[in-house]
Amino acid sequence: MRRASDAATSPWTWVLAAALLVLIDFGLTRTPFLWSKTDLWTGEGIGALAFWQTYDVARKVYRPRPAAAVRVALIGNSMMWFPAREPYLQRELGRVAPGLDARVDNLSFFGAHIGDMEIVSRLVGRLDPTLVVIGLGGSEIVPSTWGELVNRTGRFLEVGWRGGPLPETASETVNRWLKTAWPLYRFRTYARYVIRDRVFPSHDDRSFPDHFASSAEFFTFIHGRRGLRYDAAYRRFEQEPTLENLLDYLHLRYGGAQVLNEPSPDPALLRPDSPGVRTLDAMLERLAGSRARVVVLLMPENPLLEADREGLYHRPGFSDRAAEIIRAVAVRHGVAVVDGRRWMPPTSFVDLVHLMPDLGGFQKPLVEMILEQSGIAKERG
Amino acid sequence: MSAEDHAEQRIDEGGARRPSTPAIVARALLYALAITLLVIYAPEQVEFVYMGF
Repeated sequence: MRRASDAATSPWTWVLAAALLVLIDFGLTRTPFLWSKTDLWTGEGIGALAFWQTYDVARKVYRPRPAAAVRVALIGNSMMWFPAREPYLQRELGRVAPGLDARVDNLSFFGAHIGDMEIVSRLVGRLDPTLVVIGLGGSEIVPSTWGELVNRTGRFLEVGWRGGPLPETASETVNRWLKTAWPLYRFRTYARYVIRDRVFPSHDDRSFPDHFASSAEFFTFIHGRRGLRYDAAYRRFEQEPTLENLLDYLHLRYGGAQVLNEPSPDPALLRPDSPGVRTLDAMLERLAGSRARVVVLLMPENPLLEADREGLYHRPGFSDRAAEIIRAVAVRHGVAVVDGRRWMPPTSFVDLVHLMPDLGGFQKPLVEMILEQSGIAKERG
Repeated sequence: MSAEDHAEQRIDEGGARRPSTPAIVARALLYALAITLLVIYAPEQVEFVYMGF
C-alpha cells in the first residue's frame, strides 16, 4: 500500500521555504512597507515617542539618504532631538551658506545615555558622514533616574558580532547576533507596530512640525487646548526670565514631581574608570578611526541654574567635572570638544534643560560650529 | 501512459511517494509565513518599551 504524499518533510519544501523567507524578508524590510510611517508623534506616552524615534533613526541608517557633499550626523538625546531637528538646521544652512550641498541626519532619541549613543555610533558609518557631532550634557555618562547607561531603546538598534563595552546577558548576546544576521529579526518590533498601525490607524498620531511660528503654537501642539495656559505662563517667564518665574511655569505645566526630577547625580560618581566613561572612550575610539571629523559638543545649559545655589534643581559642580572628564577622554583620541554650555540665554529654554525647538535659536550657533568644523566658514571668509 | 503509470513513476526506490510540486510550494509558503509571523509576534526578550522606561 502506498504511503501518503509527504511534502511536509521533503527537503525541497525546506529549500523553497528558505528562499521564500528571503523574499518575504526583503519585501518587509527593504520596501516602503516598513518605513513609511511619518506621523511618529503619538499620544501613547514618552516611551512610545522614544520607540518611534529609534524607528526614525533606523530608517535614516538603513534606507537610502540623499547624496550631499557635506554630511552631518548628530548623536544625542532629547536635548539634541528637540532643538536640532533637520528642517531647522537645513533652513539655517540655507541662510548662512546658500548653495552649500549639505545634509543633516539627527540620530538622537529621548533618554539616550552613553551606551545607547555607543550603539548608534556603530551604525553611523552607513551614512558616511563628513562630520559627527555628539551632544553631551554630562548626565549621559552616569546612570540616573533618567535612565541606565544603555536602555531598551538603544537595544532596538543594536547590531554587531562584537558587543559593546557594557556587560550584557547571554540572551542579549544571542539577540544581538540574530539581529546582525537577520534583518527581519532586527526590525521585528518595528514590523509589529507598523502592521498594527496599518490595521488600526490612530488619528492622534502626528508629525512633529518643521517650524513653530510662536511659543503658543508649540504648546498647543504638545498639550492641545491646555497649551494656551502654559504659553501664557511661559510668556510671563519670557518677560522676566528668573528662576522663580521659570519654576512657576514648570509647576503649572508638569506639577512639582516632574520639575524636581533629578537632573544629574552626585559629581562624585564621575570617575575616569566608571563604565560610562569607558563606554565614551570606546565610542570615541571607534569614531576617531572613521573618515569623519568628530566633535563632542557640550550641550547648552540653562544659565538660570546658577541661581539654584541650594542645588534643588541641579548638582553644583557636576557640569564642570563632567566636562573635565569628557575632555580628557576626547584628547586621547584627538577628538575636538566644543563647549556650548554658555551658548544660549534663559529664554531659549523651554524647561530646566531642554531648548525650545526652532524658536530657541540653537540652530544658529550649531550651524556656525558645523561650518567651522567642516572648514567651510573659513573658506567662505 | 495512463495516470496510474504517472503515479507509479512518482514512487521512489524507498517506496515513499514523491510529493507533487504544488504540494511542495503550498507547504513551503505555509512554513515561510509561519516563521515570519513567529519572528514578528514572538514575545520580546524584555517587556516592550511602550510600558515606559
